[in-house]
Amino acid sequence: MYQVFSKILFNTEVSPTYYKMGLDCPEIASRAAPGQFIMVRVSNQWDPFLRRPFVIHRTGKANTKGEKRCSDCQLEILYKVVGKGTEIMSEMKEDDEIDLLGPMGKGYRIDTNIRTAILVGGGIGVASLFSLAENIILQCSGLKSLLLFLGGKGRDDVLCVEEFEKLSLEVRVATEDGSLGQQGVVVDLLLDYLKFGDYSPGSSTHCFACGPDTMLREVSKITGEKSISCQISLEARMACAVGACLGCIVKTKAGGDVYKKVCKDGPVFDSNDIIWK
Amino acid sequence: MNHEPVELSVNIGGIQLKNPVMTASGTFGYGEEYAPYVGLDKLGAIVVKGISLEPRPGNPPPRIVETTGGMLNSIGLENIGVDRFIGEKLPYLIDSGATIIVNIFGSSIEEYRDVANKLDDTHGISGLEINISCPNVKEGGMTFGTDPHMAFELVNLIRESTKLPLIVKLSPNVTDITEITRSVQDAGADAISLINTIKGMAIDIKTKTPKLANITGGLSGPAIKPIALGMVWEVARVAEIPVIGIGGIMNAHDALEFIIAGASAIQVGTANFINPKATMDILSGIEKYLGDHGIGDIKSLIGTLRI
Ligand SMILES: Cc1cc2nc3c(=O)[nH]c(=O)nc-3n(C[C@H](O)[C@H](O)[C@H](O)COP(=O)(O)OP(=O)(O)OC[C@H]3O[C@@H](n4cnc5c(N)ncnc54)[C@H](O)[C@@H]3O)c2cc1C
Ligand SMILES: Cc1cc2nc3c(=O)[nH]c(=O)nc-3n(C[C@H](O)[C@H](O)[C@H](O)COP(=O)(O)O)c2cc1C
Ligand code: FES
Repeated sequence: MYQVFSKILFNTEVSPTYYKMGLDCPEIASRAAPGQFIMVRVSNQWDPFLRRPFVIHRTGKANTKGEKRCSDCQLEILYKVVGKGTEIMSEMKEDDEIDLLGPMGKGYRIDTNIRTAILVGGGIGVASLFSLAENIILQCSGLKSLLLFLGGKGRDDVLCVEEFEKLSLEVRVATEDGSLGQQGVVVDLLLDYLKFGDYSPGSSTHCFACGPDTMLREVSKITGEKSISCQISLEARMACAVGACLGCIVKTKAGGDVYKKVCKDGPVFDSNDIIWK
Repeated sequence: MNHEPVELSVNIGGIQLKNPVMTASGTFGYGEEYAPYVGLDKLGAIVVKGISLEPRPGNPPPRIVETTGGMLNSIGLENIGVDRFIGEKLPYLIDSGATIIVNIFGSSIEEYRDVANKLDDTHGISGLEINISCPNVKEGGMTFGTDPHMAFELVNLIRESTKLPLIVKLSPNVTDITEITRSVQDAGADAISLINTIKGMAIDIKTKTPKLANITGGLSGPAIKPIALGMVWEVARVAEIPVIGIGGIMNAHDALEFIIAGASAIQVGTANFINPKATMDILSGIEKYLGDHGIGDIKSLIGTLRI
């Protein structure tokens, strides 16, 4: 793990209230695995006080297509403005310096035997799926289909569709207000696919999900019933992100009812391990 | 500016520290968590997360919430228990070359004694810090730290059952902190550390629910620094044993204030979360201040407040 004072390469609005920030931090980017995150210090003062966690959206490392993006060993985050910290971040300018820690946590584990991969993203949850998709394509030579189900309240919450399509992913969208794709929630897309789709439960089909807790709980339940292996990326309030404060815990089944740390043991967990409230 | 080397070592109730910068219990894990950022052997001492006789799961989440200039936590003293600490965590710490102080607590006087006893027989530990001040557990914890008679009885019993130097960690959640100071000193404490977190709460006005599952939590960070500093000054005036200052120390400036107020050493807590290298920055800042002011030995700065 590194502490880096990184230059901001760009910080642009990609959809109302959603921003993409490019960061010049080769130390972190060159070591980052899909699903890992960085801790951002948003102010030099004590307010806001704690660092903010953001998943590593993409790095230059897995760039196979040569399209314009941050160059080798640089890093992007994708974030939604929800409170004072992200508000301050949205006002940062190119060439400003920002204090980062990373790469933190354990990301997605990619089984190279995957034949069908189903990625499910709710809202800003899509942020962690891009570098995952890139790495699945790179690492899984027997891959037959790579699907992405995206959901949000409205069309503005559905991000990165074109970028994913460029990777040749099959993208399906659901919005609650029906402004884009099918009307409903992203879990409906998963249910439809599992009803009609051509997949084989067991070791060759894997599901990966990131989004709000309610969505993750549903996805875990559905994949559990179908015996499809499923990894989910969790969020928790964090202070240290190194496993020292014990603030970010989640209840798991490992060795009885014991807590695990989202920052260190996760943020990605096997969905079967989690005890839902 | 080039300076003569300055003497930074201090002795805290029999524990020889190479410098006065320690880490505060519960904010530095078991040390290894921060090893990528800090040379553990460079620290004055590491005070490890509070240890009890049996493992404890702690309180349910959410356990932390940010407040203005600080944070509330309701961890509830989650820990792996003394046996696993000795088996799984201590060897790494010993190998790192760190000076190790173990923070301990129990839900009864006997439990405190038993943990102290187990650690007494263990190689590699320089001292114990007795937590009588956690606001986040119902039994034990703070109740020992708010009643001078119970505090006396507890420290007295531990004193009889261990040869290790004893630091007693006081609670700010009292009316008169000097009263407890005298009790634990009379009972045989070798040093005093203060403050632990201050009980507080935060409310979500949308849902009208507490932001912590435990309802209340302990406040730490810059928000508590003036309170901590005031209490350290009060205690240092009456104590005959060394005092360790804790509470909202974020940089060398803060640390120096505590030393001038009478602290012989300081502990860095929540600052580690914001800047994992905080302890190292504080250490070099103290060294620079001493050099700039022609102070050859840190000991001559302790308690030099002019009134
Ligand atoms: C591992 C991880 C990865 C994340 N990745 C992303 C990402 O890629 N893009 C993105 O937009 N968001 C991400 N989040 C959520 C993001 O951290 C919060 O939205 C952000 O901290 C909110 O800060 P704020 O000051 O704007 O909001 P405020 O509500 O003002 O924040 C108040 C406090 O709550 C904490 N907080 C608020 N929401 C969350 C949350 N959901 N998770 C953890 N802490 C929170 C903040 O850190 C802060 O201490 C991630 C969270 C985690 C745990
Ligand atoms: C997350 C967290 C966990 C803590 N756990 C312990 C503990 O186990 N034992 C203890 O004596 N103090 C514990 N403390 C209190 C700190 O050691 C310290 O006294 C307090 O945080 C004030 O210092 P600070 O403002 O520099 O953080 C904890 C504090 C925090 C923030
Ligand atoms: S955030 Fe401190 S233990 Fe995870």
